[in-house]
Amino acid sequence: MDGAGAGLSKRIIKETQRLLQEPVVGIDAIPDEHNARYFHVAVAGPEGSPFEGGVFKLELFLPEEYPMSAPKVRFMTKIYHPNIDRLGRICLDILKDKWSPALQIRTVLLSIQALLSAPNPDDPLDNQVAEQWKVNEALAVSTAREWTKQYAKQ
Amino acid sequence: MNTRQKRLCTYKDQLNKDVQVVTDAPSGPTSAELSAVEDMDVDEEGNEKIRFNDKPDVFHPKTGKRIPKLAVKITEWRAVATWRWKCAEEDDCGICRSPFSACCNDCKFPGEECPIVVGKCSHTFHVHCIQKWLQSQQQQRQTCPMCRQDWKDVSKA
Repeated sequence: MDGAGAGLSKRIIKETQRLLQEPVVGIDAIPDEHNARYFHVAVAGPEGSPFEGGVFKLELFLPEEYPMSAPKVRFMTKIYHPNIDRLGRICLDILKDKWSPALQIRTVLLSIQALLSAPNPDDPLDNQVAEQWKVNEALAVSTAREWTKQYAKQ
Repeated sequence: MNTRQKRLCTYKDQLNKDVQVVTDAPSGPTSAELSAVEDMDVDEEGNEKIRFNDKPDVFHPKTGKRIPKLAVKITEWRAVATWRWKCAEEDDCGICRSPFSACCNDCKFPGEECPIVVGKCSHTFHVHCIQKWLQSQQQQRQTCPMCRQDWKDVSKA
């Protein structure tokens, strides 16, 4: 963890220790062994959502300005969701203009997990998926379930 | 005698002088002062001498440079005062996550150099932390990181 560890704020060290010591249920965030600002994340699909039973891999990167600017988070696992595009980019206000330095890695990942439970097709990132979600929600949900089975198996 | 030895001698002389003042004080030395002179030896003429740390020199494994060591051993210390900010006792700064009794991530020592400020919304931060945030928000509304209300510093009032 040298190199990248230089200039690593006390806050990042504290957050990392707490993530490892008191992990959030359904969320794994492990710092990369070569870069302490890069985390390998796995989020379990929430119960009762079409993503239930799946484990979704994400990458999280803390930019130089963190915590004055938001972490960069991206889904690595393919997912059928109106607020997540095919590149895994996430449409979530707290990752953009609603970021606050009072938020943490932990709260960001919990928000992402909550976004899986509550897709918001009125603020879409992927127009096609959002359209499908609005026109025929049952079909959208079954597609999401299908994709979960196909791509998000452990 | 090399420079280092000379420097140590000067230091030693100063210490002897200081100790003299202490022992001459009419009320006698306090326990804290006594513990500070525990490492002094008294030679035949009654002069106090500081005991030098006689551990062998330690060298840095990579650079090979000698790592400076203390010429005196601290055997005991006693705190005579503590201070804290007037705010909730075990609160952490919501930005740097360090307690208010400690300084922000950019400072080395807590205290007047790294003060805390209170917003109109009653949220409290290290002044350096909230300044950094407000500066990064220049184009936008200046809001409190905790509650997103407009930030107004009321600690100066």
